[in-house]
Amino acid sequence: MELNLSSWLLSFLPILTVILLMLLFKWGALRASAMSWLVAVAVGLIAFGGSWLILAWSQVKALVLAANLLVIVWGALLLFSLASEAGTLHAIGLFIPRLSNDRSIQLLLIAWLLTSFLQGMGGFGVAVAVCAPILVGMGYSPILSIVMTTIGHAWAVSFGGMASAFESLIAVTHVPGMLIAPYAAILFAISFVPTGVIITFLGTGWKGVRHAFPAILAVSLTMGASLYLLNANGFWSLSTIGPSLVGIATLVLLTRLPGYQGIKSAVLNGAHELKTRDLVVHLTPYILLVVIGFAVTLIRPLNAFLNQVSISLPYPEIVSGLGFVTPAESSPIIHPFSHPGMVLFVTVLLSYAILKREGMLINTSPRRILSLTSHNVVDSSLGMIVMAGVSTMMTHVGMTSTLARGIAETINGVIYPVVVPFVGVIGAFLTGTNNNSNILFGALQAEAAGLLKLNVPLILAAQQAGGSMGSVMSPTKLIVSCITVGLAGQEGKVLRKLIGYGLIPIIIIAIATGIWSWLLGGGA
Amino acid sequence: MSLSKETKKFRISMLVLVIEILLPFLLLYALQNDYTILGRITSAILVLGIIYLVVFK
Repeated sequence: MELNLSSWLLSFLPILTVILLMLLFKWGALRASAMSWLVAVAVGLIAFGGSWLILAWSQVKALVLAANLLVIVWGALLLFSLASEAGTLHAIGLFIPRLSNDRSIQLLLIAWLLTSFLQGMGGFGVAVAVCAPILVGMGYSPILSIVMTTIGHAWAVSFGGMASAFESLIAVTHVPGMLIAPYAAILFAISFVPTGVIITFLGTGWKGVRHAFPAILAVSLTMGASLYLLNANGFWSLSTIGPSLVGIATLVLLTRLPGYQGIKSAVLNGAHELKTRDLVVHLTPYILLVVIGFAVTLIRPLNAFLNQVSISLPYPEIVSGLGFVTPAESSPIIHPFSHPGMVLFVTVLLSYAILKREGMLINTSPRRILSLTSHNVVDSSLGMIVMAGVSTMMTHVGMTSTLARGIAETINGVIYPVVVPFVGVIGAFLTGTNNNSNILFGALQAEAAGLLKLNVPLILAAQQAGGSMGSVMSPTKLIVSCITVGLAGQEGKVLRKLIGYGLIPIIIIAIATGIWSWLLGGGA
Repeated sequence: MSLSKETKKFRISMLVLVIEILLPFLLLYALQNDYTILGRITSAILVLGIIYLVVFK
């Protein structure tokens, strides 16, 4: 379709629908996504030469896309239900004060570092599903708990899950990862201090920020340095787990300082003191998740053995009524036995056996665990399938392409680098993942950067950063997050609170990209 | 035995989920084999499932 203002606005309409319905009308994410689907299908069929055959293919592709993520979400929710039933979350709540009674240190540890680490291990939804309920147990409101944990792990999406999103970016742009990765490390490192400050501010106010700022700075520096070293040496598949562990180690060391130990209070509100052995047993699900996740990811012979089985579906070429061509392609390759979803399911089975043996689960527990999980998975699954359907429909009739071309062709070379992260945000908000945002917009960003004589690796690093930070605010992820703290259907309220604070690190990254590009002579 | 409101809502949501998973494949099959009526019925149910989500969720 010809690119003009009306075609661009029509292309933007499905995204605008979700945002407005959730922010202004406080609709739940599922309801807003469903309305967006109707808008995308109507605009696609009427204005962009779509057909029912295109709709059918786009929905089939959406199902395949969503299935890859749904397995992880189901596993994460099952693990969450198991942990709730066994009292693990309560035990973690009792354990954290042992490290430090300092409220801001506890907050940084859980909402920033533990979430980031879990994002590296489990990916989609696990980080918030585990950590937000812990914060609720510590007395924070459910909305605040989601906002803090969401912002805390936003950077970690990028290189989590074996850096699959980054690998996708390399695959679609054909730009070597070694060129993009150092820029990406620096852009993310710039966001660390604001992230720590926002979390502390939300949880403990300005007084807490002033108190915790040296700790935030120290953790940001060590995490930033380790992220850069890993990326610059090509180890980006470890660039979430590595810096998170370095950050946790730094913060734990800082708790030895008198200023960060807080006021000691061994027993609170009648809670019994937790023995170390009980704590280790309670933590079994998460210890196993880490061990199995590491083994599958890092033991190369095991990884190669499990990767022998792979699934990929062929898709035909699809041409819209207005001549927009989606070339014949294959679905992303899925390795079922090394998939994070499989890691989660194996973790759940082994944990169940151990916790049952230790008397922490009873005979009726499986029924309650499965009931809680099944009630939670239906809406989250529908949300992901519907939103993936919006995304694939828009892609197949050329709406996504129109949207991106409009941005690339109307903005000059000086401003474009500032806009790049927000394009990544839009892609991730729409599709729910950094990976899909890179697939949607990666090639276009590289092409536009080349045409505008900008530094292509820097622009792609900014796309990666925007995609990472935008994905955590997407309706599909918010549905999963809200379920775990009893806010199902209230995603609009959460987004209202989240968007203001969540955009701050993105704006900082956008400004940094603009200045860096200008210093490199971009757009001249 | 009457079901509680929550159970009814859950079962309808489950039905919509099954519809949204299975019907795209059926629609594709119908359209590729020129089964026009089947295609129309399938696409109508697919859209109705989404409308249910907009109205009742």
